[in-house]
Amino acid sequence: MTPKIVPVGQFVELINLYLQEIGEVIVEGEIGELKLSQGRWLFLTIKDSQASLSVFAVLAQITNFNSLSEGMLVRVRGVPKLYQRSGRFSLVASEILPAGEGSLKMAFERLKKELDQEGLFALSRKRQITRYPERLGLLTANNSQAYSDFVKVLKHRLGGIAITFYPIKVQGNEAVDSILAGFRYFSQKKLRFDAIVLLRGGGSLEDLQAFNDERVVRQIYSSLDPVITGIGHESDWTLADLVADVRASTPSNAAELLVFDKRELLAKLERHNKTIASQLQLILLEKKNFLIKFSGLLESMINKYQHKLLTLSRLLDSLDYRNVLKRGYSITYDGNGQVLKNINQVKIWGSIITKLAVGEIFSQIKQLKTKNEKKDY
Amino acid sequence: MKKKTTKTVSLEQGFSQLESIVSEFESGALNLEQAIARFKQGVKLVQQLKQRLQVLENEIKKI
Repeated sequence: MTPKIVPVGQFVELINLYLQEIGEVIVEGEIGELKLSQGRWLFLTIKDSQASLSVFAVLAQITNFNSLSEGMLVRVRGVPKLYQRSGRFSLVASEILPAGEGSLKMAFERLKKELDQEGLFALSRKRQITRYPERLGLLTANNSQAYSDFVKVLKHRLGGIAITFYPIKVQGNEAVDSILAGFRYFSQKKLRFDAIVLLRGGGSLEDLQAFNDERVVRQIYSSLDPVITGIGHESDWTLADLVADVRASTPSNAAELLVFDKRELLAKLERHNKTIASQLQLILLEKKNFLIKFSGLLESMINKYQHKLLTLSRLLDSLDYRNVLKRGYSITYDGNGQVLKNINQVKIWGSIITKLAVGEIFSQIKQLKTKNEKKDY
Repeated sequence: MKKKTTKTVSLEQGFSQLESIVSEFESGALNLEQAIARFKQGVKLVQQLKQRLQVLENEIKKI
């Protein structure tokens, strides 16, 4: 039987019908060549030791494009298609994920470098989390070890905190979307948190993949509230950890970093209480000492003045003219009561009064003599 | 959020107020009248904060 003659277009269409039967596949291979066209389309080849395959993708769909590089082992999810115009066979990709530890590491390092250069990990943009948080937004898997570790340690340290828990998937295909949805939920204006806590228990690099996803990193970067991460074990550093405002080594450590232990706070309260009580006592003691000192000062001043008063009164006594009169001196006044100091003040036959210690003498002047004239008596 | 106590002070505000009272005392700039007023305020804060620290449970709301 002679084969049927078909135009090219119809033939390609027919092939595509067969290819549709295959449906979606995931093909694993190493990236051979990686080309971007007009900033919108991605052309690459993936290969193994036996074959190679062209892959086409719309760049907007490959959100982790920045982490891909030539030589990397990847798993490409897509559908096979024969292009009508070029007759070229391609796997039309919807997702290209690094596969295996080596590639994951490579993708991680590549994205880390790129985001670091962009400034996403800069220390200068990290926000401080209050040391007394009252409201926390919690993102982790439901019924997970991470959840129970965090809640247990937090409760042991401090109570009275309002926690809004949004369960997320932390692993697998839906993890990234789930984490993003959690952050979106928490970004509602009416919900404000002192911190958003993103947790996941330990795992391999592959298990922690969602926390190295560029979209998750950017979501954390743009979070309204500060973010603390507690992902994996002590030694696991994901890109989410690098972009977070605070990185805790484990979920338990996140609780430890977030709140003070109440015993620590009670001890602090006691210290403050003692300080203000002893400081007040000090002030009171100071006032008391001042009063004692002041009353002493007052007493010595009174004593001093008393002594001065005595001396003065003695001096006054010694200066009293009556005491002089007692010693035989007398004072003479003229008729007007003026004390006589000079004979010019009086005239012959004038009256004078002489005051003695006891009594007064009224006399009439018979004779006057100046000091230079020879005395009669 | 349910509150059993009359008025719980926030830890952040309470501790910051208490710490500023302590440093006022330590600066030695208070006169007797001010010192007594601050002391009363401080003692009240200590009591309120102690009460706040006695809250044992955290309230968890699952979305």
